Amino acid sequence: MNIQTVINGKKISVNVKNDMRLLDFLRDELELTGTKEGCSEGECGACTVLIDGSPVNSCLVMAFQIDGKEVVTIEALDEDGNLNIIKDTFLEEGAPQCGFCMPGMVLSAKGLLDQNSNPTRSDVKEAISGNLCRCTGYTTIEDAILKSAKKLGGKNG
Amino acid sequence: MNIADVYKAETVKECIKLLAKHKETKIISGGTDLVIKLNEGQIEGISLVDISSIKELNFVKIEGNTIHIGSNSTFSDVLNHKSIFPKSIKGFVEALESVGSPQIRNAGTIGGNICNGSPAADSIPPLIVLGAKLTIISKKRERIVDIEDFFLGKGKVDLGSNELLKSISFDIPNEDSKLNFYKYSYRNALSITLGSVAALIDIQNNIVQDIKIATGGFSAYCIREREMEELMIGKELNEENLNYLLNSAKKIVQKRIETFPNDFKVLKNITIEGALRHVIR
Amino acid sequence: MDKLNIVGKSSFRVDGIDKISGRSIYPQDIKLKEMFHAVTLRSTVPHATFTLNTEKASKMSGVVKIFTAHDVTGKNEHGVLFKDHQVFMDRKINRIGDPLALVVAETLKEAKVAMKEIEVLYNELPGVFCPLEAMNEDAPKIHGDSNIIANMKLEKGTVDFSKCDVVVENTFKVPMVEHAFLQPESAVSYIEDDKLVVISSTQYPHWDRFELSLALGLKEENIKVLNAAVGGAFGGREDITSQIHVALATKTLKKPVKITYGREESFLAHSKRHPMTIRMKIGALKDGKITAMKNEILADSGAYASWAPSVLRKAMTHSTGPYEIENVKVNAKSVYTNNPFTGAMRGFGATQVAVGYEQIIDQLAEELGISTYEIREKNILRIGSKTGTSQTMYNSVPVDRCLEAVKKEMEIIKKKPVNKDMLTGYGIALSIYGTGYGNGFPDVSSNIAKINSDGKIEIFSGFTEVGQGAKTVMAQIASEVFNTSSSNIIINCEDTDKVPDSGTAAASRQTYNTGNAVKKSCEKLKDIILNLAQKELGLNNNIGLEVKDELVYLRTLPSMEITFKDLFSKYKDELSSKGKFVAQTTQMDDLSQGAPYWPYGFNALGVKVEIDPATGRINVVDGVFAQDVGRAINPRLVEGQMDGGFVMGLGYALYEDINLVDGEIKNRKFSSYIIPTAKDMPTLKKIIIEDPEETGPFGAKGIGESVTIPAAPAILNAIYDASKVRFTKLPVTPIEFMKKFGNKYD
Ligand code: FES
Ligand code: FES
Repeated sequence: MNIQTVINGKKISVNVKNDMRLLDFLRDELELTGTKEGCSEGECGACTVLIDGSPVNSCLVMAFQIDGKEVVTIEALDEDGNLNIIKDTFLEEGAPQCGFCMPGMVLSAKGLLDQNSNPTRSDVKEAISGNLCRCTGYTTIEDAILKSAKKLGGKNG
Repeated sequence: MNIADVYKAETVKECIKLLAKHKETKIISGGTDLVIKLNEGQIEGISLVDISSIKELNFVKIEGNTIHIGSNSTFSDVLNHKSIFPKSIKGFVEALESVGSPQIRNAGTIGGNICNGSPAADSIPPLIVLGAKLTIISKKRERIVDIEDFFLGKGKVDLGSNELLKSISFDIPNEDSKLNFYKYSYRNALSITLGSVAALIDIQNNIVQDIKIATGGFSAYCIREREMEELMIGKELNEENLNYLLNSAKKIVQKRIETFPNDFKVLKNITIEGALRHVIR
Repeated sequence: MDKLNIVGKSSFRVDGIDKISGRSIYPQDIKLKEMFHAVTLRSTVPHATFTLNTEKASKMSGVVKIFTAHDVTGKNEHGVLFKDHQVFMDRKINRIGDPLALVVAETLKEAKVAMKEIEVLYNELPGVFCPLEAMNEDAPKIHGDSNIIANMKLEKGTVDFSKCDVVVENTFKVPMVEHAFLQPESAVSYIEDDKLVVISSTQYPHWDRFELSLALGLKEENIKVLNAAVGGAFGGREDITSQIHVALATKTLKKPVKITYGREESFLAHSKRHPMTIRMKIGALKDGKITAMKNEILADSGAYASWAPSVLRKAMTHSTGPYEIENVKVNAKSVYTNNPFTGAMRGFGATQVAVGYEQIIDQLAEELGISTYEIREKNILRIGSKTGTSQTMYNSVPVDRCLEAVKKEMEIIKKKPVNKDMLTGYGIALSIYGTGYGNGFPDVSSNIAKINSDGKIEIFSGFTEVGQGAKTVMAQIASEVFNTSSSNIIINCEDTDKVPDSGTAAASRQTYNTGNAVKKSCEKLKDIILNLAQKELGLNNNIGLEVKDELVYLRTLPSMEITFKDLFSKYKDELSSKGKFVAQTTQMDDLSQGAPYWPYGFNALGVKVEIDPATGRINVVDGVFAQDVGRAINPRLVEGQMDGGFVMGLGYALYEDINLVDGEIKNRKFSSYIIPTAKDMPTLKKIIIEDPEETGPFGAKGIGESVTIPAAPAILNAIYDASKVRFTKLPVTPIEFMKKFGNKYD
């Protein structure tokens, strides 16, 4: 099926196989391997991408469904400057350990902060509650998101 | 994974036409249940009608005393209207908030949740006690079904292969009532439901004037629990009456699962008791 | 000790930004030209002989070759201690999930379709799934003629409970649990210049190379193992899995082959934490002094031994906790069954026994009528104390400081408001963890430090970055020696061709063992540099020469200087030095007396739990964690370990349990095997206790495993405090809680 879509700001028109999930399309066809597969059933959030700005599990979306939509992955260029601030803050707070959950976490964080510039810790917990991490205990990730919000508030306000 | 054809519908009209024309199709929208089944090979060789782009089915509106929700609204879409919902349907909001994870709520639709007919779908018990009506359309006709009558068996619903669920509507309950919801699960997020209960309850001077109870996870599909309701109507809300209800509720549930292993029975006993305690208040 | 510039600072992770940006490469991210794809056929019954018919499958479209036991070119066996695993089964299946065949095809889809066409005929044998039954004479045997893998005893003094004023006993049951690292196993192999190259995510590349050489019948020098990014390990990547299969396929086909497991296969393929039944009896005098303890441990090793004797030894020697007890007797057994095999997992046996000793000591305190703090204060190990193996604690034993810190904070936590609708309870636990393989095993780490042509310092060592931060820690150690920024240190650790063996990333041994090797080699290299600089600068001696930022200068005349780069241009090969470190442990005697591990790390944890009395839902809502680290090389990494270790222990206490029915894992997905989410994790106050370990690099000890141990017992003690129900079986799910609470469903 031919689809028109925007991936990381770039318009593309492409044929996708009927039986391909968005996750496979990103990783295998576009070689955007920053999006990870940890469970294939919507439980771990390692495959999180933004579709029209909202975090979703790319393992639960068929590739043909992004026709007419905009997808943002961890490889996205930082158009609004927010993504880099979030990434840098994740580094400063020592968020990553093994790293496998990180791309998904960063995108869930972006999804939250684009909507809510002043989240509480419980908002942050809610926002990453669909992203499993076996290494960190989540605390440093939450700290990084809260701190990113402060920085972004400063930047935008 | 093996999929025959994919058809994309942009409008309701297109969709019902496609459904009329092609047999052996399944509707896909959020995909949060279906894609797992496709990926695991539980469903093979079917064609898909993708309705995720039908914008006219993505709405939440209040008309008079009635709330209408388009079937293609995601859980998040509905929750974005939280502020215009009256307090009396708080339990409905809580049920939607308890669904999976943010990612699942951003993709999964309320129509999908209903049409899957899962015994533990989070949004359904509150809709049952609210007396929600489903508008279903096919090329030939449009019909309205009580949500309670929509479920026929585990995963079986009253929806023909040529039909599409358009919208869900319910009346806002009167101000004296409140809608309570409790989902019993192992952990605080991302958890499958062990059992859930919704109760629409009107208490005056500590007397239960009216109550409607619906459960998920205690039967082959979500159901209205009339037998339990009867036990509370007109009764004072005290520990003694509540205990009587809890004990009877356990018996009611146990009857449905007589042939199940003992562990499962104990689990259901504990779940119904705990969940009911949270909603009858 | 001199003032430290880099050690003790929370430098950013050297691999951090790549991980955050999705640029770190895990094996599943690798795509090579003309690469074949493979899938494993695994057994679906727990105990059987079998025949395979691959004829039809091998003719399917796209299929290149189907590998079975016949195709193994070396010895068809592997295993970390005993060679009881097979590459592909040839005679008898011992568990569900044993590998039977590998289908290699042009596409993944073709491989999967073909796999379904392989016919397997099972001739099922009776299985044994209970470790107690497995010890019966007439029980079905898994390997050889006895199912008992190890039977150990420990005796110190004479246990005589009649001399005690108070005696309590209990039996604790801890479940089989899963590592649940987020990155499922994946491996890619190919041929490069006649060498077999295997890329995987492993905890020990050099060991993999050794096992590959045996199974493939290749010399080690003809194999190169590259470690890609590792998406968590926790012990679950110590036994070889996918890499051995693709390596064999590539060796035969001379083409790149890739395999990636799905989550379910990951559950089937790697080891699990040993479930144990732990019987404990403990006695004390009226004044609270513990004088006797007797423990019995039975561990289920499942179908293979993996690390069974080592795990059991650690469980046995740690079963007295961080306490000095004069008279101790322990018997410990580990047995084969037809269950999934168990092996290394964070804490390595020490995690399991803590669930027992930290609860029974609370029970004892209650019997004695003293506080949970007092009983611990009276019995903890201090400088000069002797452990259950009669090992002398001669330095860095800050158990008292850990306990004190937690006690203080818990007083504050107890003053915070409580939720009236909930049962609220507080609990504490201490733990002890001895580093390393132990028991006299030659536990070696090696490192080479070099100056490269840019004048930069390079570290070459075969340690593994599994997420714990080893790369960052080693860079910090090197940069401390050379007085430069850790981002200037180039770390090489992934390639077995380039780096010497540094043992496994396990047993919390990397910071201590490899850290020591790195420090030694860097110090030697620094001496070399100073001597060469002296020569170049025409000085009489090297007194007053200092290094800073890849430069040597004279302190009294800083303009007299020479860069590492300039030294390199002249002395190239001389600018290299080796460092080796072997941990000092001794083999214990027949009664398990001796000095089996070193150093020991300690911690204390206090938690507050809330329990919904209507549903039994338990939440840990507050906590304080004090961790002995010797010295923190990187405090932020230490805190990250503390949070991560805690949450893993929380899962152990409240959610996690491999649900087995006749050897089959029923919950092998993340939707049914429940691990904690962000919403289950409280914000912990973390306190780092520093008491430098004389033999550690800058005083550091490893903590990777220690941090997970106290969580479960502290939570269980808090549950008891809230409900007055003592849970001896993990996990305490809401349903299990309600069954016992008020005895309604017993
Ligand atoms: S891979 Fe999509 S949620 Fe885990
Ligand atoms: S850092 Fe390893 S899973 Fe999150």
